[in-house]
Amino acid sequence: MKKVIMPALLAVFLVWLMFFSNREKPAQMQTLAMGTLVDMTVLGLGGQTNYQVLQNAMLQLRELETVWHPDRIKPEGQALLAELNRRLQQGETVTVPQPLQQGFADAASYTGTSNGLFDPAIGGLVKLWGFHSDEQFPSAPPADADIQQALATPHFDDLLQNHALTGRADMRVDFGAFAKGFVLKEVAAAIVAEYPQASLLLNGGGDLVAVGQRPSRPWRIAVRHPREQGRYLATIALKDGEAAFTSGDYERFFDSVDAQGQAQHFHHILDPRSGWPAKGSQSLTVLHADGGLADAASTALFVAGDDWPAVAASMGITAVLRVTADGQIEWTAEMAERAELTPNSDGVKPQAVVRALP
Amino acid sequence: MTAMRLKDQQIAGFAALAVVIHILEASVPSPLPGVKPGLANVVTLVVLFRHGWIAAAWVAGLRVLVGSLLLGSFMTPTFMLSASGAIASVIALGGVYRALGLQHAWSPGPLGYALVAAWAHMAAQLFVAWLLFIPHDGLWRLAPVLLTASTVFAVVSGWATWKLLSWLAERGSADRVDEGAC
Amino acid sequence: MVLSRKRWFVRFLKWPDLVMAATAVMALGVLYVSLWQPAGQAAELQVLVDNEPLLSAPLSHNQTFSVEGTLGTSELEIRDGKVRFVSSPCRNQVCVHHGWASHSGELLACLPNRIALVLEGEAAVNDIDAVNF
Repeated sequence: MKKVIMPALLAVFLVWLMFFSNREKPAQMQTLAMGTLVDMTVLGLGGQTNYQVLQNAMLQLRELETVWHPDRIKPEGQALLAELNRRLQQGETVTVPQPLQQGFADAASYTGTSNGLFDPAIGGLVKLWGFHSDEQFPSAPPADADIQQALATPHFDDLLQNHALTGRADMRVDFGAFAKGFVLKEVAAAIVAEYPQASLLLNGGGDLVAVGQRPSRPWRIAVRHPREQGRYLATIALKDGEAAFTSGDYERFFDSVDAQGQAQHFHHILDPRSGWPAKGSQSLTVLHADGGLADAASTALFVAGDDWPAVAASMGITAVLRVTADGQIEWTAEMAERAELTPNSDGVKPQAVVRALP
Repeated sequence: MTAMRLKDQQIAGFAALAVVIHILEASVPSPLPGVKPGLANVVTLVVLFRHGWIAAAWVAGLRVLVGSLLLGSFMTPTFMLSASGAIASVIALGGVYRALGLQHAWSPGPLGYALVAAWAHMAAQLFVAWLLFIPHDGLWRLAPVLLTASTVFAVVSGWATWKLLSWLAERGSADRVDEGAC
Repeated sequence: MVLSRKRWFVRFLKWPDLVMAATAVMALGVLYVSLWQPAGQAAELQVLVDNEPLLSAPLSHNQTFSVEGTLGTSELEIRDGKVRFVSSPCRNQVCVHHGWASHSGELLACLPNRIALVLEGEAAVNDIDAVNF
């Protein structure tokens, strides 16, 4: 009988080796949503369940996309924000519908902590520039007088009182710098609530929300270099439940001439103080556990320019990576610890300046 | 006492032979990283068949230790890999040796033992490499290729072991003074 | 346990050897099926139009080709393992501005024209799960 034990053990070992090494294939899906291409990866639940979870996440994403779209009123689904904007523009005082309340409250608090650098109330300005719509994408900047008029709106945190807003004809609430982070966070939270052991990576057009990790290592991401195509600025291992959001001047833009006849690069991140595209940064990346905050903060800190450390401190952001307008890399101490700068083509690691948070 | 001394000397001699083969093999470039014929294992197998498992374990251990010291790879990744492979294959050989022995109808011959040693060696190396050096899932994709090479080389070294055992038997070598000592 | 003198001659092949060899070969077969993908396998480009897979193409083969989106024709170019939008009928040209994409996990899309490009395969090349931009 003893003679059977060893071969049996050997066989068990081989079978174990087989299963142990046969790593589960993650389920992956792409869809056009939230004004971008969303790519979702789920693993850790077994092939069938991974796929099922993805399907549900996809449906939820589509639903939330409709809910948070500022203008498009679809016959099917609840276009809550678009409906709210429509009523505001008729001058009504509108109570924020319950599904939007958490997001509105979060956004209002970020408007406060960012000192108005992130402000959903400038939707009119965004529309004036034309960055809100793929169909009306601009080819020239608007007249400065129109810009000044669009800027004459109270900050979002002043507008929102007791979950209600009072409308005006030119009012338009636009969560372009917040909704994607908030929605991806919600989608991730819904999956985790049902399947705590799931690992997922949600990629909304380059903005990322990570949960769990790969079997043998954390989710690892690369931050794109703002000027050199196909090159990475840095690589970062994301923690469980962390979001990475980058605002850059290199994707949604048009080239035209300014009032002085100078050729200019007009990108979509508008400075609520001047009404013109924010100057001073090429790209700015933020890591934070809250996707909505990471999204809003990457915009606010980009707009802040060289003063970003003060805004970061006030918003509670500690991991920041920035490329200034003249190509200098800046980061916080925490980011310096976590991100690995990618060497140049000649193998030299670029220099980065640590900016202390006040 | 005389028998013990003679046996120690033999182990040292076999280990020395294994070290020489080990170093010769290390100097031959390999087409695939991690793929070596493992001919030094032939010595371990011959010793297993002629002197039992404990002697074989000594030879394998000494080979890895002395070989790496001579090659200057002691405590480097190469050493970790080769040591883990050697330890795993000695343990696997010991298990099969205890369970199936050498001279029963159900005992495997040189080929069987060579296969056991080679697979254990490769599996342990892969695992250690994955654990310590390349924690990337892509490594496991190489497993079938590496294990195929292991299997082929196991057939070769099994055959060589058999040839060597037959040759030693024909010579009726007088080194079996310790017969029954185990 | 050591062989006695009269059983000194060992046979090369006994049935346990054959059983072990057969087990090894079978295990190899299973491992190949479950694990092995040919090394250096070219990454693939998947093209989706309006969320439906339209075609896939190897990134190893240089070519330019057109894809019909909901708005019109987008021109794509594959060169040296990279892909880009050469032209697209959209107003914002975000897809064209993005330039080349070459790493698995990178996404490239023309939203107005409802065309999405997904790069698949060979994650080992760069070890990156996604690109943040």
